[in-house]
Amino acid sequence: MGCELLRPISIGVALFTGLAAFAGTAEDTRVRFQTQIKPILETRCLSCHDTRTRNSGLVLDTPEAILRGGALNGPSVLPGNAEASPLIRYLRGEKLPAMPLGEPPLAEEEIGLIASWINQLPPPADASEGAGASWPFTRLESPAIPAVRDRKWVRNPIDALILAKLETQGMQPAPPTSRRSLLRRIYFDLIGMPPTPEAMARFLRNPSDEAYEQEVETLLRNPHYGERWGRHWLDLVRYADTEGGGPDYPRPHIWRYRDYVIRAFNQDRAYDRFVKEQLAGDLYSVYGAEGKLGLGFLNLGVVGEDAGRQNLLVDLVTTTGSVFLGLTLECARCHDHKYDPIPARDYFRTEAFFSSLTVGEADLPFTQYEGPRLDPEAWERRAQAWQRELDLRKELKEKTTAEFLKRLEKPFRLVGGQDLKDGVVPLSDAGELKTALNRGVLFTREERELYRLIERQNTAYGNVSHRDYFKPRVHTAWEIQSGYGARRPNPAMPTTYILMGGNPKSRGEAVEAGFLSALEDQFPFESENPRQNPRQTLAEWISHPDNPLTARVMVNRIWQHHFGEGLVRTASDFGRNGSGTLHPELIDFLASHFVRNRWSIKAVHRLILQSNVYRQSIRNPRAGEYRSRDPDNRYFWRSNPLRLEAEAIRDSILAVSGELNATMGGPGFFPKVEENLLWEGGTWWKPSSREERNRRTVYMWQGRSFQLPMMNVFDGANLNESCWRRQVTTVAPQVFALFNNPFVHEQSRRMARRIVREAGPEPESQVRRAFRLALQRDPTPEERSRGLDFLNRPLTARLPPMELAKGPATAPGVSSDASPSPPPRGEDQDRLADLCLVLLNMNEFIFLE
Amino acid sequence: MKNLNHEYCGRFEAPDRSLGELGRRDFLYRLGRGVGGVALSSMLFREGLLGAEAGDNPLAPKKSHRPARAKSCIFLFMAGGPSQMDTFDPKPLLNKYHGTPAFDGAQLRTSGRKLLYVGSPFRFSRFGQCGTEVSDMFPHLATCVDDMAVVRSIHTDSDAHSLATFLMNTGEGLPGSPSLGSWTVYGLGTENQNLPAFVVFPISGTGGFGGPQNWSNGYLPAIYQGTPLKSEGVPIVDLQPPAGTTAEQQEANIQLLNHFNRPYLEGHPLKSDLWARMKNYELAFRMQMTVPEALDVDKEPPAIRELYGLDNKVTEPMGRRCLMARRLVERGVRFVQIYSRGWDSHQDIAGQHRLRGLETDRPMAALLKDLKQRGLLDQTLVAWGGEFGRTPQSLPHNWKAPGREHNKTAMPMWFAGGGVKGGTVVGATDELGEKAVESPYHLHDLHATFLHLMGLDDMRLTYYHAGRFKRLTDLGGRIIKEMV
Repeated sequence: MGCELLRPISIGVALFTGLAAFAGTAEDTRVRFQTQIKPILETRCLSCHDTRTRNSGLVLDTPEAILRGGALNGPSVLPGNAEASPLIRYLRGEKLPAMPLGEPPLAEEEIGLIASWINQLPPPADASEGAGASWPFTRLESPAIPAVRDRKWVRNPIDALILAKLETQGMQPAPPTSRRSLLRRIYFDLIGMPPTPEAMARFLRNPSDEAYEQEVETLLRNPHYGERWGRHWLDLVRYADTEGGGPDYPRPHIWRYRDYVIRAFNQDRAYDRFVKEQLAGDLYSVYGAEGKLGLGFLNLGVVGEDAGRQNLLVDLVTTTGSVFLGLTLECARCHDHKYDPIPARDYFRTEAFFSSLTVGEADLPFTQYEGPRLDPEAWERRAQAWQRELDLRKELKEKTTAEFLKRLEKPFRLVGGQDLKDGVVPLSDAGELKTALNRGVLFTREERELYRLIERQNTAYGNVSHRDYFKPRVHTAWEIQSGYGARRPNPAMPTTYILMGGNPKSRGEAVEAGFLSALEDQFPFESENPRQNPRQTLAEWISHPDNPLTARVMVNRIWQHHFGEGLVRTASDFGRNGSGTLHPELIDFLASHFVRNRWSIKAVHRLILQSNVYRQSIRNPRAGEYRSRDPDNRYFWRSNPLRLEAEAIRDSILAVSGELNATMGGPGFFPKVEENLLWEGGTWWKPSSREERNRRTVYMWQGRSFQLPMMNVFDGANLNESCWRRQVTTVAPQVFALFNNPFVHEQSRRMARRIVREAGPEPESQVRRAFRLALQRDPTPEERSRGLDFLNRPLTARLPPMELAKGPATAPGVSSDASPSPPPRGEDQDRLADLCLVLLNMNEFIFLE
Repeated sequence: MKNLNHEYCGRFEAPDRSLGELGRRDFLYRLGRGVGGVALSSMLFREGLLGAEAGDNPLAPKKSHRPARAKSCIFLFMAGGPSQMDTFDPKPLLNKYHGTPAFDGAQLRTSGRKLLYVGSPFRFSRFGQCGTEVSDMFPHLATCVDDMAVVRSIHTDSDAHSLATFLMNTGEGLPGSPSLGSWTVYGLGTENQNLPAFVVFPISGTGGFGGPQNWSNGYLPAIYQGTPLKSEGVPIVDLQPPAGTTAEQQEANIQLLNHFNRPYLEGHPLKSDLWARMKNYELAFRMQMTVPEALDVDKEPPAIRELYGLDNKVTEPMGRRCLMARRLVERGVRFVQIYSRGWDSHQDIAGQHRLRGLETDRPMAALLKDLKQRGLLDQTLVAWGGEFGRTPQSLPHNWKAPGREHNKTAMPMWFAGGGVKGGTVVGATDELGEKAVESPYHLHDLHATFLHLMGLDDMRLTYYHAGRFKRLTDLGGRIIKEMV
């Protein structure tokens, strides 16, 4: 079992630096079984030596199987000794029959690659003695800061740690980025929107370090910061406003958790407390109502139609492991983890912490931090309005159904062609109404659609349990036996069993709640109060400063959102099947700093933003050379260019058009969408007022069964499970969403109006203002003249007035959204609006240097 | 039952070199802050516009794992769950027990109510040279049996609509996994870069079965998601700019955009991706023509329109979609899924299933015949089925017009074209049609067979996600060898 993938984590004091060196150098030169060796075996060997065929009892599909070997020769490889390994000798024809049997031999490079892999396997003696735990399971200690040659470049230890690695590779960092790019970078990084032209001008006038630090501080205090970074967290915790699954019912109060997250980031709440609140906030009286709101975390799983308790538990263990610990615990649900030291037993020991938990809704008055508390009367009015809408819909449904059914009282003949010769179909009761409606014989298309709308609204929102949509309620959690709010330990915890193959019907032995065995030696943990609720014990264990994973995982996520890539690129998989890292010391430095500064996330931002690493340009003069050696920029020899996420694009458009409504918190708003799309999803969708719709995207209703096309095509989060990074794709439908969609057209026109207001009638100043708003720079002479030409060149055809998107059909009696009519469409403004549309579609607008 | 041999889990680590960079876990890391996937006309690559710097176009046609039998697939999805004993699986014995309480005391899972057997109100006859039995629900389809393989023994894991629909489309009961179409396009790319690779004609009406999550890319990159098409009006949302925007205006806008974008490319590390993004504006502009053209059934001669039943109010909606599907696969679209609704006949199976037959029979038969006469059937896999089958029994309180309940232990499906052995019947249910007993195939087997016919190996078509290489068939499926 001494192979690279299964190196046992044994007891022993690991010398940190030695391990770091191992992790650091191993990554780039090491031959990887999965990506390099396995494909060769797959193509050439597995047809006779996989788990199905097993010729000579030999299986070659995993390192373990190879080490185990076959019936004839025993182990196929001798770790560290390729020349003597039977596998190599057969492949070279030194042992007969030469392999692959009856086929041409492998290419010399392929055999060489396999030999290198064998040679890098640690000899068995090594693996069993003194290897110790490896990073990231080792104790967290702040590393020594290395000396570097170019000391002038070092502003803080981050620079030293990165530069030292670069220098070992003979590489130099990129020059600093321009002041303009720098300001744009911190604006987008910290608040997710561009600076105003005025802020840019102010910043460019004062090139001092203090001015930069001043800007960083201002942005960290800006409430938009919490919206930006809260969104990153919401990705991780699989936030959505619906339950998912087929019916996809709303979780009508879950926005209170969303607001809680935003608030926590804005207040720079200590991360250890943030963790505790989300896992066991109800059990810490000192956290008050905030703690109970944090429990939304436990309430965000997908509920299938067959909602089983096991689904809930799997969701909780999976998400907890991935979000807080950066581990793929779920791999150990069906069998011992294939790559990390997590036996299946540990998976169920973790599950046992949640075994007495149940989730659901409960009353919880609004706190002083929450919007509705500020205006209880308005809230009450909304509650009443909601109730009226529900009643109205119910009445409408009953009335319409009764009326429609009257037409079905006698059998009718379907109209049609030769297929329907004997097409008399008796239709008798409500169940048949749908059939009749679908036929389109007795009813007009409008009647049909009206009926569907009514039905949809009734099923999705008229659900009895959601009648209290605007009541101060919360999605929370409590212990099954003791009921909501109990703080006492429960004497009769439901027993947790190891489930064979993860199958709930196949129970193995019973297990008690317990911590991951891989961490026991490095991080011995004894709960201070053994009678404590197990969930609280788990929260204490995760948020303990000695837990080697928690802080490392979180600082890596912070780094990821500043640099586009984590130091561990698979930010939710710190295990062996993840990317690993070249920079364990840097992670440890940041993590130690994080814990020492009372788990302050903003303290980590400050440190990172101060560094020269962060201020590099995306262009390194030696990029050509470096790219061939380090194509993925894992040494950080330049900054990574970044495409804005869907939310940042939409928010920036609103910011630039001047239409952004900065109101924070409260239930999600519904954007306008094409009606046809909505028929397919289960959730009722009624567009909010224009003012509401112009709020930041984080406040947009997140339905699991239906996402706004713009979110979808710009790689929005997968709302069904923890999303630790957004993908970045470039697809043609993005053009539909950003160039054709009525929302963007409307914003372009409003931006044009704003420009006329702010820059006057002069085309030249209009072009300048447009560039300054969108890109925070002046147009180049070339751009200026092209822009002016564009504004002045008449189009041949006169255009009819542009219609704004029509909202979905609304059932009669249900108040329709009366948005104010669009601004008048003067001819000049049309051209200017098109110019704005073009600016909002520029690469420079959605890419960040 | 699902094979729970965990040795197979290790196989998740198997990347596939035939998928190039895409199948490799490196791919994940390369996405970077940069642009991972670029959907772009292969034409642009041929024109050398992108030069040597161009990244792989992830939608470019890719080499299959093995010679493909089918190049495209049309999946006719009968949402709600069609009944086996009223369509392709005659059970004469069932008619004898009409009205008898279920022998095993079968009860409805939710209410515990006793169920009564219901004989089939449909008449079965043998058709074609093969003599496959088909009910009189499908008189037209019955003339195609020599090209069809009827599989009577497929079973699934859930008898709840949404779960079973997710299972049929993604192999998983909870949403969030890539759909069959997404996997196929991920594995094979597509032949026509001016049309979406994977299109869906969704059902209209109330949701409840999970909607777009059934054609979602799940954890695969967004390029692989299904594009929902409307069969009337503007087919894709926002394909056209708001009314009143002229083509001249759009062209002027794109031209200005190109001028403004050009200087920004200079020395940018993502130059080729930025360039690709610029080209997408032209592609999207062209799609305003190509997509409606591909869907323009008015271009078809009257005989063809009539064949598909476009002249008939009842058959028209399905006919239109089937004809559009043919036009799409003809143009190189890889995967088309058509939904038909209303198969959930808890009551009045006689009336409701009859209506479903009237709506779909002629169009589906037309599709098979039309594909065949154009020589396209050999390379187009056509599949028909719902998310589960139905029980031989009805609830007693529906006895006035008896229907059938959900059944996950057997369901009817048929396949045609694309390497399918025509004129075959695979597997068998018990005497009353309740459960697959002979050669039962799990839905993962079905998916493995799908991929097999498309030239893909379900064990090798993997994507690295959440710490392991995932695949459509989870731990793997068996190929339904009787039909290939």
